[in-house]
Amino acid sequence: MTPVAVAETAFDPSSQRLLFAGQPVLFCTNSPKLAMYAQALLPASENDKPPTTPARASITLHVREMDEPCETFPLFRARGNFARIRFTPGDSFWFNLRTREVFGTCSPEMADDGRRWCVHILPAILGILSATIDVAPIHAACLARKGRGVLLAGHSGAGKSTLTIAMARRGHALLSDDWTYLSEEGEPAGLDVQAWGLPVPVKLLPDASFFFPELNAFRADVSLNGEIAYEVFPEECFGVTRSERCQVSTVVLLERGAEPGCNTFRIRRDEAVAHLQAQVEPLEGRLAGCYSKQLEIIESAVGQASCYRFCFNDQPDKAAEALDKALGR
Amino acid sequence: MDSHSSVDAITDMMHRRTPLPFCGRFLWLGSSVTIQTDSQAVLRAAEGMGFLPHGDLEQESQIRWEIVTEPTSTPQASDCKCKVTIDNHSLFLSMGAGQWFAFDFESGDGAGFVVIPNPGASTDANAVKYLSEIACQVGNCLQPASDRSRWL
Repeated sequence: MTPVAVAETAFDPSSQRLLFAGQPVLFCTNSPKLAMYAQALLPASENDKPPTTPARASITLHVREMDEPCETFPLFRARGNFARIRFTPGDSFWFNLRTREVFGTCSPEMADDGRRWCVHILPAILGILSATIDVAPIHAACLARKGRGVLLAGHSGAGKSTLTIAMARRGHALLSDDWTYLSEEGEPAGLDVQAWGLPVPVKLLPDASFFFPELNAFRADVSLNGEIAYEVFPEECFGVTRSERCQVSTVVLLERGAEPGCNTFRIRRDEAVAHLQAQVEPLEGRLAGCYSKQLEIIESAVGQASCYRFCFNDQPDKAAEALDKALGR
Repeated sequence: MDSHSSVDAITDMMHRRTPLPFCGRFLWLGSSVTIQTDSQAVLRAAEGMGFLPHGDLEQESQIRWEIVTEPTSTPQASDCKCKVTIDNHSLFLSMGAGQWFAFDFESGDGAGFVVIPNPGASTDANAVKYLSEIACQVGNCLQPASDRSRWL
């Protein structure tokens, strides 16, 4: 057997420094297409200036012919400092989280599938890397108005995405409908936590077309977790605006109500912090410090926010109107 | 794993926290190796590969591996060849059908997943094949750098 040495592969010499949730990541590839997908998802770091800080992590992706027909897909596994993910027989992504390095290979056919890279593959890679570069991914939608952010958190099926679209149609800028990334910014003496989104499609289940007939112009398809869903770019489908980042000023925990209508209750900050922290994957061993840092970032983000529980059983536009009113917006 | 709480089920989608109740201490190529796993068959396979059981729990192992079992998949793991990828810090072994192993040259840490149809069994032919590939490839990497440089 001949080992494939990463150092032997001929990469395009032009690597890029891109920003993920404000953290510089070095992105290297031999594929102009993959470079383009990454640029579409992540802003460039320190444009036209020499980098002042080293990249926090590196992602190296190589397009080449693959021949590994034996596995089932998708496959996500991790243990200790390592993780490996695969989406098709034509790809494989290895993570050494101690060294913050990702090495991936994919087939030329897969490199052609830009939508898959932007919707599933690159967000998954960044999500797994996030803990090691002091980014806390939280399972919450995020909207902003005048730079002030509202996090909408809730378990799957709580109605985050439909409420998020309804709020965005009322004038909030949309950061994310599912995963929001928190990271610190600024000098150590005055660190400030920012919420970031990725410009990926929103995911809406088929019955959302009842409330949003615009979806009928699109086709529902199998999503990464096997659900049939619409995955649409909200600017294109709903004409709403997006925002890249904001500071969290409000946290809302969503709950489906048994009775028709909407009710908003003020809750303690520690309840909101506990809910968000419980969604973060605990890491142990050498990565335990990364996990502690993620919990700290979440606590800081919610530290100055107003926190609410919103129980609703109403159409998304009416629920959005009620929530807007309750938040005084 | 059934022992996981519902919160674990939400946050352990990558099976990162599967409990590993079995631990073996070995001497191998002059180094102390600790292997934690959820199947005795993995420890027996290591012994079969020349890992010498070593009971000195006081001594910190330079090499620590965690090996988790996967349920049987089709086609059989043994039908798939091992593919090796190396970078400056890590060795990655892909052994098909959900089987893999990764090793960090600097820290000595390693981890992977192996297909064992009956994790309760004390021996398993596929575990032997899996450990054999690991012993061969990691063993090569633990040779002096001058020998290893032919790969890099």
